[in-house]
Amino acid sequence: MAGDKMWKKAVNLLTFREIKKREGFILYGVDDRTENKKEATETATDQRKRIHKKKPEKSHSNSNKKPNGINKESKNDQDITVNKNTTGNKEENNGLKNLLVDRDLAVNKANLEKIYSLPKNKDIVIREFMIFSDSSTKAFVLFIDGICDRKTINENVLKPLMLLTGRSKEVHNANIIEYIKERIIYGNQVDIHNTYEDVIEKVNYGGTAVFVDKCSACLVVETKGWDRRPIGRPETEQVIRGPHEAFNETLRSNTALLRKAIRNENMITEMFKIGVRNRTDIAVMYLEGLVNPSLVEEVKRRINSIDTDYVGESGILEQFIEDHPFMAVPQVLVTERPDRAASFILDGKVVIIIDGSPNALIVPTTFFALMHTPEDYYLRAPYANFVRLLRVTAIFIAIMTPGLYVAVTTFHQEMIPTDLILAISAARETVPFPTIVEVFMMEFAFEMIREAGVRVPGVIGNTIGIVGALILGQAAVSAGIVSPILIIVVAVTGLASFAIPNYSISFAFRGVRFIFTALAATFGFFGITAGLYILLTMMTSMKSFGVPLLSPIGPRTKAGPDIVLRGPLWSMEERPDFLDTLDRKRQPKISRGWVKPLMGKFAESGDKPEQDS
Amino acid sequence: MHMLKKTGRGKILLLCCIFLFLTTGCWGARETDELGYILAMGIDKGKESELHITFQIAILGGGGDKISGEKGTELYTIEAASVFGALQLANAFASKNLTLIHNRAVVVSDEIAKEGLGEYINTFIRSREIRRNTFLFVTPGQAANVLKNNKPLLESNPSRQLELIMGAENFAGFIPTTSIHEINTAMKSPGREAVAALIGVNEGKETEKKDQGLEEKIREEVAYLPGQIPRQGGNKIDIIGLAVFKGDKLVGYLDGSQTRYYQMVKGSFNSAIFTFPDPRKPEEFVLEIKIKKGRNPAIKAKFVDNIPQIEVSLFLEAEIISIASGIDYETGKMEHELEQYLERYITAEISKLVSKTQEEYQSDIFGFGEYTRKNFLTWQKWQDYDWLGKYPDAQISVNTNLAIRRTGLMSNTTELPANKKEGEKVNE
Repeated sequence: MAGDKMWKKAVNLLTFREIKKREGFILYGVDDRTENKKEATETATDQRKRIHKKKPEKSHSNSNKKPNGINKESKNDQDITVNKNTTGNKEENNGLKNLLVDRDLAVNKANLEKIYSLPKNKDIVIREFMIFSDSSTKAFVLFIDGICDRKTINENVLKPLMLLTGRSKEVHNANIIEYIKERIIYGNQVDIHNTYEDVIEKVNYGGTAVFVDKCSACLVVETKGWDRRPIGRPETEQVIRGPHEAFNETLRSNTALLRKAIRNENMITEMFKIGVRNRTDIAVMYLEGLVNPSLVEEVKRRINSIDTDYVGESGILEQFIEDHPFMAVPQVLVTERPDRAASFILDGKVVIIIDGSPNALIVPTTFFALMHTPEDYYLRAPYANFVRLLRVTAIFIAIMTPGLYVAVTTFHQEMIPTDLILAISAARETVPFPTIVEVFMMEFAFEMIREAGVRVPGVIGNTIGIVGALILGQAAVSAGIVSPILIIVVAVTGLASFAIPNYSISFAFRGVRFIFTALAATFGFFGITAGLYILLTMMTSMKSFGVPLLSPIGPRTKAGPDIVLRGPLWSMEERPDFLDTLDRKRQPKISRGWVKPLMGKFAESGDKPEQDS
Repeated sequence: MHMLKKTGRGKILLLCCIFLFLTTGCWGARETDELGYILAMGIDKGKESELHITFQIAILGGGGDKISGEKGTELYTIEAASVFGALQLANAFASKNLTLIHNRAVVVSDEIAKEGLGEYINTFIRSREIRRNTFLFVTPGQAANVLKNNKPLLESNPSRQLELIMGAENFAGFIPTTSIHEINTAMKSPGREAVAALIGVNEGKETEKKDQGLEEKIREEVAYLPGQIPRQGGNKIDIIGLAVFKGDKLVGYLDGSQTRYYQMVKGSFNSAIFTFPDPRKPEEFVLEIKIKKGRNPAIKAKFVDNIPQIEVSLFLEAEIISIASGIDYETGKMEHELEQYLERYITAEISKLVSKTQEEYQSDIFGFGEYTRKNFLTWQKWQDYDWLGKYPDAQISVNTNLAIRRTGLMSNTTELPANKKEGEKVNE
């Protein structure tokens, strides 16, 4: 049976088919689960509620089986509350969570103590106090220490509650909460909730809940505040020209960075929560009125359909929403630069930011976008094109150099100048291995240096470079294990792979080059040609959120002057055709107003003299 | 069974991929160091067997961290009935798999060439190891002797050396590049005959003193065959001149001087520095003129009373390099006079060469026949006409157009007082 599964996987890999049973994306014309279809149109909150409605059954059966091993069985437990105390069991907790806030403060407190396993749970704080001087109305606040801003709680929640209420007359019980929300508490985000579920969700993410006696509702004040990394410099996408700001791990900072870059009221930040146990916040940002609505719909549909325990990083989310999980080339663009994300939003793409990850996901993406850097647009066109050509060369070098070397030295010795073949042969004279073994050995060593360089603790990081370059290169040659020309081949290949701007695609090409080397060793140039053909076929068959990966070249669609090379910025009049945005025009045909008088004749006749280049 | 049916397509696909690897294997692969690279090959008449083949093989040296290239070359001489027969026999004593994929030159002795190249050239154009752009040389002596004496001093291997020497075609003019392909097509063509570059060993012997005037000496300045150049030092190999074929048989040689004029008519002449006798004082002074091809020559062919008439017009450009006499040839009428003089001189030399090929060799090496083709309606008619047989009877006129474009770094010659004779007025 296991063998059959393997077969199935292999078949799917080869035939580019997704297993229908598991995930069905619209791209394959597979029917979605009926509930997913509904979800697409429902709001996120509706969906959340529904998930919880169906949950108790599951947990019921679970707890019946193993009432004491609940923490271990947590995988199937779809509820927010994880902690279980020894006395209460799961059903009870679920029941509590679904309860409404009680009028009796003592009941509320007891319920919360149960839910949060107090007093075992030490960072949950319940602070009790009195409000309204004339009577002695009891109240308490609930918050989690460490993820709340103490100053805000003290100054904006506790202080007004204890001081200001003292001055006013007692109001009717039913209106106390409304009254406090409207007149007492300073907090800038205050909500009234009456189910524990809602309250707990907010409290778990830095909110402060205020419970007042004889009130069947509770106030939740936004008091988030924890230690966070400040906005730093980009680590993987550095530029010389351009902003040196990067996303950090806080969702709100990241959305703010994008807001700051795009000052437009049409920019929408939709928030979702995924991960049943963790409830990670996910922001989907796009420019309404520009982006294709069905793209947003598809993004939301995929995100909402994810049914898993924990999605903690953009990389995990990427794997859940991408079209072709087994293909070499990534279908989601990852960036840590707000300026880059902003430029994609303005192109009509959708940016997905996940709390706790300093990377934004951009969908859909094309192969060519993966090969660009933000600096390409900040530099003047001639410089940018120079760099881009360099990069294109680097791709081919990174994929094929070892393969070409093997093919030439074992199959096609007649293809290179006599002097070179004599030099190669002379250098190989003392090498005891066949070329292919030699190449694989050195390539493997290089990859090891690279991997070790990433994993090694910073202190001894520098040694890796020295060890790699000196010991492996120099010594291997002196020992006659590899030929010096091969060192050049491996070094150039390695260097070229570093020149590929996207981390994922650089990974892809690093892997692909081993396949090319093997093909070259078996079939020579024919193998390389066949490999290129297969790689291209695979890439043409791929899509990213409905957009073919190789557009606008395969399939050929209308394209601005920005594919491999780019034209001047003023010639990029239209947004990418494949995005099918609501507003196609980026700028009018004559975007440089000051050249208009010079071109008066052309401008009037509607010609576009500037597009020539 | 059910599962097999379901995934049958995938299994077959995967099996196909695996079999694809199995069926090919790496049999075509040869490691670079398993191969012995033949850089040049010589073909002589054999004593024991039909042919006496000489292979010049690169010796690899170094290894380890020194990329020292090759130490030199080694000569293997084998007697066999055919070229590849010799290659097979070489395996009896050569440790490496000898291959011709990097062979740069084939040297053929005159003995073989006189008997006819036709039977050997097929090997060279059909074998997949030999490139058609391999140089083919004819040597007046033994090919083995040429390879033995070829010790390039400035380059590391003869392959590179020959490539560089043949590159001199662009600035010397008396070293035409003749590849196996060109010779083969010329031999096949009913409109032209083949030529091959000449190579030979220069033993550095004292040449006999000729009793010639300056004008004659100038005329024959480069008129040498390989081995005749009066020189000392350097590599012992001369590459100068052409071997003229009629059909596939060698009929004679053109010396360096004739080769230059031959190239002019062919249009393959690029540029060369010529020495001419001074038009006014031919027995005293020389002129050094760099002559370039201005345009491709215009060759017209027509038939008058069934006699082919060929008109050759050359378009040349000249740059004065030196005027030893100090006569001010650059200005006005003088320049025109010089141009006319040079035109006449070149026309005369070419006419001489043409009549030599017509009368002595009876071989249309210029390919004039190709131009007569348009006078025939069908290929068959043209072939039946037998141009090559009629070439000696053709009337060929040569017309040279030469323009002096540059006068070097000087625009005005100042005559040295010593050269002036009795207040002779030179500048008009």
